[in-house]
Amino acid sequence: MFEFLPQIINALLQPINILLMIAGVVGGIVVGALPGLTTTMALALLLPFTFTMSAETALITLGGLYIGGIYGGCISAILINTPGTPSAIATTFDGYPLTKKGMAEKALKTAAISSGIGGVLGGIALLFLTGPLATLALRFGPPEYFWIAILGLTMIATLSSGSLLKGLIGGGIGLMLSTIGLAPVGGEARYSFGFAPLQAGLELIVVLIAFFCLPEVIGMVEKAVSKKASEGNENHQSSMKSMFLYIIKRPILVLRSSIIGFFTGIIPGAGGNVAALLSYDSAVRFSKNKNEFGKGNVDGVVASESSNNSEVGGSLVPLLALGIPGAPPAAIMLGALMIQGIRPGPNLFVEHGALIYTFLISFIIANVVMLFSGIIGARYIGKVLNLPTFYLAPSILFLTIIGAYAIRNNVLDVFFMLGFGILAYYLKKVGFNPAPIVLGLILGPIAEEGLAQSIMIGGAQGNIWGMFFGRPISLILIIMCIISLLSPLYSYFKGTKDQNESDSRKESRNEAI
Amino acid sequence: MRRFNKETVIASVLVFIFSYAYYEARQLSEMSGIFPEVISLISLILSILYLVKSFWIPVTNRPFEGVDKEKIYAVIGGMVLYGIGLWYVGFLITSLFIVTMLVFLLQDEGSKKQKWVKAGTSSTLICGGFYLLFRFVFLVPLPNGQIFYNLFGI
Repeated sequence: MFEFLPQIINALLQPINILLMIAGVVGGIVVGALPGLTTTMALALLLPFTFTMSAETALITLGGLYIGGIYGGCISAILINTPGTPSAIATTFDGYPLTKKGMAEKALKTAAISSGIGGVLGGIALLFLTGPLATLALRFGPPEYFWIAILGLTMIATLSSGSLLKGLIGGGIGLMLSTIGLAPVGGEARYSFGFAPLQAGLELIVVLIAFFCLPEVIGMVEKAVSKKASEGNENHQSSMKSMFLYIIKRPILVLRSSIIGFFTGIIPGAGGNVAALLSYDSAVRFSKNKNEFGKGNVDGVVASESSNNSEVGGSLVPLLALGIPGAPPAAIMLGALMIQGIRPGPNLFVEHGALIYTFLISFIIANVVMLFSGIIGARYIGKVLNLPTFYLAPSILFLTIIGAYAIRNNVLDVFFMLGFGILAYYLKKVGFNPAPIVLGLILGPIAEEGLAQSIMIGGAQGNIWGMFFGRPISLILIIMCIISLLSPLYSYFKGTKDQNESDSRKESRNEAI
Repeated sequence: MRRFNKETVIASVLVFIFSYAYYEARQLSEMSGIFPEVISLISLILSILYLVKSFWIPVTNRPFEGVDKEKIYAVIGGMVLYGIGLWYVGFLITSLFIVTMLVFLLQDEGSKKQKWVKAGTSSTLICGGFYLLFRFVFLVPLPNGQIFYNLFGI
């Protein structure tokens, strides 16, 4: 890398590159914040404009947009409980409760700082570890994907606030919803009732909007409508310094989330949503204050955001080293590289070393730009909630409609969104938390593909059980699943034991008195 | 044993849905059906447990207590109308109408005239602004509506 340093510095100091990097990051944040507009879509829209740019300018701009887009998803997740991108789903769990407590600015600043740190860590890992880690991506076969999904599903216990039984049923509902449409392996239409549009399955973002946003919109008008959304709560101001120190004092949380995000990104197809969910789950499990999660714990936002931005770096590892895009936006980046006459693969760093190192360093810088843009923006974006509810609720409803439609330009998606939204409001009222349902919907396709393909391959090899239980990475994942399932039980019994000890101490003290 | 309650109704509906899902999954080929079959069976067992539990465990919370039902119906009605309007008269007209109506209906204070002014101005700004952004910046072709398609072919 160091032999290319003069070229890298020269490219990064070009005013046009600096300007387009900032524009890319800011544009990405705007797109990410709008429900229905995905980072992939924004990258695809920008792609034709890069034809006339030099290769490094094109990559710097697209990289900035990718980073900004992933961060931007947290804005609507925090403010209106709607993940702007699927990667921000776990941010809603604690981000929105913070908003309801009047701490939207704090949540947004936390998200910006942790996204920035996670992104920089992911970028550094991308810069130095691309080669060795790329081979890891190739070791992930169908059984490993299946166990990753099962590991994610063990989170239902964490996400089930109130009743575990309802949480498990919710997970089942989500998994069943994920099976609507053509089977990924058998190819048969399932639960489509002869209705052709259902054969394509349910669009994830449509269901995300329906389950997270619409119940909130209806909930907003439940009581005194003229009140402001954040009224009744103190409008907490928090300085950037205090939030930065808060996050810095939790190095293990940030590091663990970033590592989970980065490694999940390396696995093609896993995506930022899985990364954020796994990180959130680990944050809950390792926390001493488990009960505070889901009620506005800043650590939940830190875990989710540092992970999903670190995942961006991870998703570029298989792209650069093997030519396999780790996530849909990385596929657009692959297109951009090929348009510039660059074929990613093992020789990329040898053939185009200066260009790729310029891109990787600009990627790290773009994360810093995103961090400051996010912090500056948080002060103003948070003020949106000062609008009276009679403006806010119809505006959010309008955004959900446009968002649901824009994904596939399909009016039917709007109908699905409205139908599921009303159902979700009712389900929420009777104690079914939307999080396990959406978790099932996200992980269902990964689990099903992994299961069906593993059975087929295992059957052909004459050893189905060996396929699931005989591979080293699978075994590690199985152990993680078992730990994940047993840890709540351990905590429960430990808590009961501590309670009993405390009670007996109190009794003996009373007797002594 | 408790009397038949809201939880029992929900549990019964779930038992019915998962039973149907299991039955449908059994009709599929092995590769298409294995996943929904396993999931629906597990969910069915959980739903039966929920049904049994609903008879024994008393329901303590009243989910719709203290809720302004008229406003809830206004918003839900607005949503349904929005979907229908989007299909027939297109995005812009429906959005302007629904957002104006909702902003008007959800206001508690002020004279009717003030409410209409606020509703009209805000809906024009919100719908117009986002329409321009999505239509001309993000190049999303928003629906024009079946009526306009049938009358003018657009």
